[in-house]
Amino acid sequence: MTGRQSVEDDFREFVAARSPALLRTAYLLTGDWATAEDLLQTALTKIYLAWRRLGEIEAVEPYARRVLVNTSISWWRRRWHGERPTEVLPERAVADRVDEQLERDALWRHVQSLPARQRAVLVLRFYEDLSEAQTAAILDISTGTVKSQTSRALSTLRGRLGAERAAEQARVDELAAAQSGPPPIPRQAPVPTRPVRAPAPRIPAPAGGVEGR
Amino acid sequence: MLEERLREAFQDRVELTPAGTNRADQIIHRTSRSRRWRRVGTSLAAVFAFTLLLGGTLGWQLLRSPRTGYDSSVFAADPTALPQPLVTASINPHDVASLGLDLRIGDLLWTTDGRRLDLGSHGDVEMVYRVPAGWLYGNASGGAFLQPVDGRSVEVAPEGSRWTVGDDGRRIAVVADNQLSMAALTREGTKRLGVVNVPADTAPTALLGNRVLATGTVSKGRGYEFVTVVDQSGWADPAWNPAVSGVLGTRSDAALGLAWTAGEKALCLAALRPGSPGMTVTMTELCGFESPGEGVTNNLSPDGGWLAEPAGDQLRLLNVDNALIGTPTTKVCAAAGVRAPIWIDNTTVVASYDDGVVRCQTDGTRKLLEVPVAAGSSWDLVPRLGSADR
Repeated sequence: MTGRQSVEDDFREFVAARSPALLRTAYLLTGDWATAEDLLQTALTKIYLAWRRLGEIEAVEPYARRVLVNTSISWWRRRWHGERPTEVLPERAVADRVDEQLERDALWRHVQSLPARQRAVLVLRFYEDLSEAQTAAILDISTGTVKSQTSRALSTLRGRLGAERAAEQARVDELAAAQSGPPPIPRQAPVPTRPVRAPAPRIPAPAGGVEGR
Repeated sequence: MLEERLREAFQDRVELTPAGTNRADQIIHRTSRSRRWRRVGTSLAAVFAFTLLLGGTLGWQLLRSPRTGYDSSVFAADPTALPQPLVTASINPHDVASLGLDLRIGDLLWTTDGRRLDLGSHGDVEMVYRVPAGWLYGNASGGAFLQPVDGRSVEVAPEGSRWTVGDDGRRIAVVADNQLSMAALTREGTKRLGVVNVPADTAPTALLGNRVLATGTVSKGRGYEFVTVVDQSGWADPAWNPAVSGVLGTRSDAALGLAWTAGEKALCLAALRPGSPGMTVTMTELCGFESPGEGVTNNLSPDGGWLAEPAGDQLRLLNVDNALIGTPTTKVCAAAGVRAPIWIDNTTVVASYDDGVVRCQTDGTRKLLEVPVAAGSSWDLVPRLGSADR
């Protein structure tokens, strides 16, 4: 068997064994299966190109994860990540856990809106169950940065979930009041938290005057 | 606990994984094809890099030996860089390296001092500036990094941020997480000078003294305002001026931008100065500019005295000093498909055009420089901001 043939066979074996797991991680990083497939394909291509350098098969797994995560982060700004159709949720066999499911869906929605690196940190820490040191090594950042990114991401998620719950509660209260109480009193506009500035200043216009757009 | 719920949510999402395809064979097949092409490309790039290095060395040696007709200032130039080209002397006209600018192909940089730097370790490079502390480069994810003249590159703006570098290349303004900060660029990295909280969607566009000329969202688009940052903290609440439509650069006392006349009839060159309560806009009679949108292609000379504007098959050089006193004048430098002008000094600008590089002087002198065929078309000259650290 030639050296090249051996490399190809090893690579085939690796792809067959690890693709499903890597695809799942890719999905958590990108948020949809089609992009995850693209990401995995790109990452595997990079891995194949580096295969000879990697040498032993044991080194491939962490390298693959690093390539996958870093490729997903560098993709984030280049690709269009606008509105996407909501995926069809898998049917649930048990009907009495709807609240938990809804909460997990809400959590997932907010995870998707986090910056790419923060999301990568969460996926590595709480899906791949990597330590802070391992996560730092994959992302090529310090352990302190992993800690701060994790803390910031969790705090953002807590804030957004809390705000969502409060808004939901307010809607419920309003509905209840509308159905049972006297006619509602018009609500006052909320007090702005920051001072409201005067409108844009007039601009001196030697060339005939300028108006704001 | 949120961490536990996250674990559950992640497991829940990947419960149903789609069936896989035969990726390995596809990759092996595609890679072997692209490897063949890459070998051809690498050979061409090597020939090109060698040509540049040889040309640069020859040009440097030619300039170092005194000859009749060469300006003596050439020999007093920054010893770390190639001397700037002269108006009168025909120095190695076919050698782009003699321009004294670094050259970029993709993530690779060929510097005027003979180095080859690979800046691709943080993702694909989108733009590079030569600054006194080294090379400042940004990637597609919004991150910016400083590759010092010696040492490892350091992050100066995080991913997802918006940043701009001062015209002297010594300071950078960054907006990240709704915080606008200004920092000095040093060979060791950055030294923060101040930070203020700003409204969402704020972006820095230029630096003027202690202030950043930033842009933010107004009801019908974007507006601009100066925000004082150095030695500041707390909140800034800029009153965005929607009459301003783009920023071109800075002079010693003002920023230069484009502003609308009454009724948005024309977009004119204007001097923008900090004021109270809002900026003052001094319009000039130099009008008829296209709305710049996201990409400003004009380029201001280092002293802000001239503006280079690509206009089809010519590069227009607009005299800003004259425009500000009400007598606008223009020089024209013809070159087909001219783009991306870069000022070498206050009177010399170079730009790519369809057949190579054109060098124009504000006195009307023009010189066409050829680029080796092997370079292809995917190369860029690297703008140089400020003078190099000694």
